[in-house]
Amino acid sequence: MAFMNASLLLGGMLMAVPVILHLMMRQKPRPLVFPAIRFVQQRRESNRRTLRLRHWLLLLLRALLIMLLAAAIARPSVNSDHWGNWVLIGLVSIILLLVLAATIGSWMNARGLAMVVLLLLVTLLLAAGDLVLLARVMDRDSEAMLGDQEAPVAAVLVIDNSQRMGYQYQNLSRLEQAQQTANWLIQQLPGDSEVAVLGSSGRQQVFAIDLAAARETVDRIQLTSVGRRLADVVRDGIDLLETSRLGRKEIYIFTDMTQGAWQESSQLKGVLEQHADVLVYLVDEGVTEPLNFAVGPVTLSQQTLTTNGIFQLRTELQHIGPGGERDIELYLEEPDLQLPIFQDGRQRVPLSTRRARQHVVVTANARQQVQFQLQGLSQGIHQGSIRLVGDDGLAIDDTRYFTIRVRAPWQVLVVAPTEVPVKFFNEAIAPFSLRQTGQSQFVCTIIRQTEAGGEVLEDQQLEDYSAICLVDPLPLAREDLQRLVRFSSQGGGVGLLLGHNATVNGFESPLAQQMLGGRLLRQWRPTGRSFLDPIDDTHPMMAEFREVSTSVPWQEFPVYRYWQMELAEGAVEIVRYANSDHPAIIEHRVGQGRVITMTTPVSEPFQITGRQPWNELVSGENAWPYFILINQVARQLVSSGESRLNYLAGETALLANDTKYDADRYQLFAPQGEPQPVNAVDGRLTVKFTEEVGPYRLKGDRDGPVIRGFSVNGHAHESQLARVTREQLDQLLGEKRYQLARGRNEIEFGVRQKRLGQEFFPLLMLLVAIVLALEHVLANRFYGRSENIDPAGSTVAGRLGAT
Amino acid sequence: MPAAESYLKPEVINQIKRLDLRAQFIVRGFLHGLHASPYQGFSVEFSEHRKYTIGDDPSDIDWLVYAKTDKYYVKKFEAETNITGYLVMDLSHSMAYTYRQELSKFDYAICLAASLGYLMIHQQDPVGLITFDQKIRSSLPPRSKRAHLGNLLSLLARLKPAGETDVARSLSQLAAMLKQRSLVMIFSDLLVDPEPVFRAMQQLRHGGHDVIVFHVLDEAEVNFPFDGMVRFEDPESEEMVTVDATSFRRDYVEELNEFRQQYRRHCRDNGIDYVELDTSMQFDKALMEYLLSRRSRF
Repeated sequence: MAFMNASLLLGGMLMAVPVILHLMMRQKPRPLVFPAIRFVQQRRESNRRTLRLRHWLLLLLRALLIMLLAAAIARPSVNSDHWGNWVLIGLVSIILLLVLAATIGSWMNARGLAMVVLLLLVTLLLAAGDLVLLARVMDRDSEAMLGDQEAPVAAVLVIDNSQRMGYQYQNLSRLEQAQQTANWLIQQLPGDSEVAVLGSSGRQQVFAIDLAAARETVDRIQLTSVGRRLADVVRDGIDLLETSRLGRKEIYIFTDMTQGAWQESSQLKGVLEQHADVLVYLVDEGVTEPLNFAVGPVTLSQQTLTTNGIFQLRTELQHIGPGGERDIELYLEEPDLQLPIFQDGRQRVPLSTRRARQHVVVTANARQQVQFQLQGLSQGIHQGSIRLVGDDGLAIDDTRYFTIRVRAPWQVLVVAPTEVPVKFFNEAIAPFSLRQTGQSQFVCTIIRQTEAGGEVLEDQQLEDYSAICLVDPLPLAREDLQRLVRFSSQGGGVGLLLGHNATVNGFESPLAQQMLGGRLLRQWRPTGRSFLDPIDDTHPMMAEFREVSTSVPWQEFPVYRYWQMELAEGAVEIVRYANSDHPAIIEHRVGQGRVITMTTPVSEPFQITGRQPWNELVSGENAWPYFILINQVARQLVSSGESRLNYLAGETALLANDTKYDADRYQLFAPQGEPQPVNAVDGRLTVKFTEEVGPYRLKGDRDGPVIRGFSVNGHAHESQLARVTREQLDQLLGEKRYQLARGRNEIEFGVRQKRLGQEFFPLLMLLVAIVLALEHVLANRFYGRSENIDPAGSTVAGRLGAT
Repeated sequence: MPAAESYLKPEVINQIKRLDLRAQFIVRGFLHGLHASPYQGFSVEFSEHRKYTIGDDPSDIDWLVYAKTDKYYVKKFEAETNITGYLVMDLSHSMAYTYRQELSKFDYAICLAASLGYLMIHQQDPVGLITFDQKIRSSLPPRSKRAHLGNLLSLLARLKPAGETDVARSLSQLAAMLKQRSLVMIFSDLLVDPEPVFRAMQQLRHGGHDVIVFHVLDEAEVNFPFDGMVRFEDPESEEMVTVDATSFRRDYVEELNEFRQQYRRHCRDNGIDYVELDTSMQFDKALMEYLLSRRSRF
């Protein structure tokens, strides 16, 4: 229980006034001669008793009246949750008082011992019950000591400024609406309050100097794509609040109440539980029935294409609302080596042309897949976008950007002993038909290993290759191992597809172990049936299998023998052998490059003489998993030198910079603003500031312009406009742990309720009125003149007048 | 000129100072107001018979005469002159009490006694006056002459209430004193222990006397119109009692009613007329009570 004006409780001391009046200011009796005194004498004693009882009763009522008035003016309030308990206590107390009065009355009137004892027992029971209730409520109500409403507060205003808050409604974005409310709210805060305004960028985590500074901070907040999660900002806010020495701590969260804003924040609930003294207000600035069409995340079949390759782009039309239809268009920029340039204060960028258009119908609150396909792109960087035609509430998610690179086919060096057939491998990654039409992604160069430990790589220009694959190799020469390590360190991909030609001794050297990513232990012949068993579906190598992962018939391609390995640190298992914990395919990094080791061969011919086959991966019927697996291995190997070209806002973009072909210095053209210089360091370009979504262009110079680029898109949760439900909020923040308010009235009401709790004022005033009325009635009854007594002179006059 | 009945009101009578005029006005006002007079046929004795004519009260027909003569005769009455009345006046100090400072109990009783004296002498009834406090103080022997009225009224006018009273003793004394069967009219506030008084009254009744008790109280003694804390003081014994008058009113009235009820019961049992009066009541009630009770005796 708390009081708004606790000092006014001292007014309760005025209760002494009627007591003093009663004790000190006893009425002086009026002397009166009266012959019929005998009638007075006989009843005097009982009258005096009654009289005293009445006096005390009236005194009690009057004291109670003053006490109630003092209590009412002190404006007591309790935590709203305990309001019912307090009312119950009040009721029990009133009944207690009444029973007590009855007890005293019957005692003074000598109404019989049994009656008095019974009433006394009831009184005691009630008193005990009241005390127990009071103790329990006080125990639970301890956190509600709030003090008066005008005391300064420490307030943190968390304003969600993610792109979602750009949703336009009634000509105001949600952020603008939130800013207006926040400014108003700051004005409402008591002077001397400490206010901090936190956006989701969360840089300023101190209290503002004064309220005006806080308002300025509010006005400065802008939409951002790189905001931290709202729950994290709220946690920061609570930490900040704990640094304040002010007793009252409040956090106001201005949110659009969307699913996107309130994703999984289970920790927040715990934090709020720990900081029970912090009052949490959710200010709902969202739209109850949002209407939005959005282009979903863009998935590219590959971000680096080879010439003549087919490029597939998948996305979806996401919709919140009653359903509708939209056109989705794919734009691609025309390559222009001169552009971009910064001219007249603005960027001139290559012209975008529409390359495809689809009409999509979507039902209420649903999403619809959309797929585009492009072919015949010239070599170089291509930037494009997927755009929605038409307006809706949230503009930011109507466009998604992508960047792809088109390059010449990858050169792969295949090293294999003379008797090992590499036909399967070659045909798997570079089929004859595609080679003929120039659509093949890989070009294989095959060299033969003639003897164990003999050098084979000495004449090769390894830097011309993107990857080197050793198919069932013999033990390698030390020099070759060194070359491989160097090649890999510089970003090349190395595939070690071991088979029966390998020996434990031949691969025991540290260099060999470094390349293998572990140590060969022995050849292993599984007792039962064994086959490949992918354990990490999320690995990029498994991407192609992902959609059909449950229906890949791995068990139809048994493995009879493989190398058992002891993995080195850093090596990652991708595929295991079924019914064992022995790795089949592992990946690890050597320098910047990637090495993939496979412990069973991929080159077992159909007919083997002199030994048992190690597996039927190739020779099995309809061996499509093998083809995909080998292609994926090859892609994984060549992509080790490739850079990611599509990022999410806030991620650091890393682009490999080949010193042979690429420039050292670039100008970075972000989607907005002037170009910034970027230098390549250690063969890399690093762009940290990717807050804006859109195409980023890098323009350098090395014997002519070098154009590079990447795309940045917003996060998926920025399109999740579906409203979060009360149950979800309860789960995230804790039931009854927050106050939800929409609009200023609700905020005022909510704040008053939370700060002051539930007020007793009206109830107390009602009690005052009742006690006053009771006092009046009793006083009148005790001291009022009987109406049938008519001694006054007026009657005489009346009679005279009547005659 | 107010109507004659207005003289029945104590506050009007209070404005007249001379007692003879007071008595005269009261009785005139009283008689003026009577329609079917109980006065007729009261205090009269049979004198002769006369022939019944239509309009006579059939109850007056003398059936013995009818039996003898076979003719209707009605009894004719004439005033009886040998009923002796005594006005017995309480002189106690308490009788001087008046709350409104108008007519005291004593004044009221005097007016009433004077009126009755007037009435009786006009009927040629001899009437005497006896006053008492601790004992009988003075007495005027009963006479029926007109001149006696002057003596009676002048004595009444001269009376002053003083000192304590002993009603029982005085009445016993009176009972011993009266030789002849008489009508004893006691005017008192009776603010003494009732039991001895009852016994004294019984003595009077044993002596064959008719007794009418005019219990005169001040209106304040009946209505208890006091408020707040009051210290009551008995004018006779000078006893003092402090009470909260406001809350005490009901108790007081109950107590008083109980007291009167005692008297009512006792008087009824002993054939005594008991007339409750207070100083705010019109005199006619007392007079009518007297006349009615007298008639019922004949």
